[in-house]
Amino acid sequence: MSFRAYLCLALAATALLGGCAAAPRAPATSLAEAGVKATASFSAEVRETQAQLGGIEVGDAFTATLRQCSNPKLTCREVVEPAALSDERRRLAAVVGLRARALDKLGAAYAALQTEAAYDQGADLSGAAGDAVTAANAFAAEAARLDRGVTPSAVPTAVASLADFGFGLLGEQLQRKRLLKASREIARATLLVRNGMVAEAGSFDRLTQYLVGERTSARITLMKAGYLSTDDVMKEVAQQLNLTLTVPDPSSESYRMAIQASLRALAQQEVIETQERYRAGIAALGALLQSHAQLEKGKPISIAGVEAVLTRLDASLAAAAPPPPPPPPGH
Amino acid sequence: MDSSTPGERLAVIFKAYSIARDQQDNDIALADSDQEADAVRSNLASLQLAYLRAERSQLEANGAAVESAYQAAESATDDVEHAYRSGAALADRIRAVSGAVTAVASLAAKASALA
Repeated sequence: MSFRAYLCLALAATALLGGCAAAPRAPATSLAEAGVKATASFSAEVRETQAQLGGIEVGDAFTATLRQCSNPKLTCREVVEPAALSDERRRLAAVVGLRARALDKLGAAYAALQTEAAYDQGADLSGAAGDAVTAANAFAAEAARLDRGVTPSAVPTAVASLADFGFGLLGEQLQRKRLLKASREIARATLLVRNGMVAEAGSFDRLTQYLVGERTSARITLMKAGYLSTDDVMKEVAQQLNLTLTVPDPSSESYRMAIQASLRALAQQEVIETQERYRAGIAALGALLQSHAQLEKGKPISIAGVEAVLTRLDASLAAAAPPPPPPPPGH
Repeated sequence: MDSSTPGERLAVIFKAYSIARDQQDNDIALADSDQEADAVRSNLASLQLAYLRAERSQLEANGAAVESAYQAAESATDDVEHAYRSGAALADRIRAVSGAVTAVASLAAKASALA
């Protein structure tokens, strides 16, 4: 299932929580399901970035050697990047992995809440919530160090606090209930992760540009050398122009340059879409926090603000989404 | 004068690297010798390493030396951009990128709180 679809499910689930404050198990189950889905989707997105950072050198060795050997004035030999570069990318990938780990721990906490709410049995809520808070704290500290240069004792409070999500005026008696106490602990972890993701958004934006730029550069080299078809690019261009195109001379300089320019434009679109998914992940965590607050208050949940964000996201993603697969024979 | 932000410092390092990276096909294709091709790759590797380290480290330090280094890095990056846009000879492009390598390294060293 796509990231966008997960988000929609998560938010739709949180929308069902209203009016059930007197019997919190059902809304807690829905909230937990939304949390599991949202964290899984966001984690997958982050792990993709981590994986890409760790996998550049192989393609780079191929294209660098290809460039060297395509020039007859140069000695045709293997070209491998300095070890310091791949080492540094691995270090950066490990830092990025902290985000995914924090999201996974958070997902485990939501899963424990889900079990507790659904069966009223002894799920290890306190352990899971504690793990989530610990992982979220480690991530938030690392994220703040990455983007702000300061390792905080807690999260960067300037970004947001639980009070911003409506937790400030809650009655202490509500926290006596186990579900609500766990909900508050998980909400704290969710806030930590969300704030870390917000603090690190600038770093993520640059990394996305870096990774897409590396891939684009390799694709251009491979196309120039005849190792990669230009068909995919032409198909994208034709789709976006909504025209049927023909190529009179695939070997012409004008065609090659036009393909190259289109590749760079498509890469820029990919950068923007990836950055938007990251921000949608942050919005989903914010929606979860608001749902936690509503759960404690027993009030209906409003996600109108996030729905507006997702509507804009839908519009941009729909333009870039691959066409649906053809229906099976007989349909 | 406002001081530069860590994000602006990272952006100028990334810009210098991405300009040179996007032109490496042409640079290697125009190299007359292995030495020239090696110089192109060495410059590019240095800029990429500077960017990756800057992303992971801290460019939070402030002060006149940092601002001076930031402005030098901006200027050197502008020189790289101009060298490619104006179709300068490969030797001049290598020189321009080499200037950016030096300027960017100085910025990273001065702005890094770990330095």
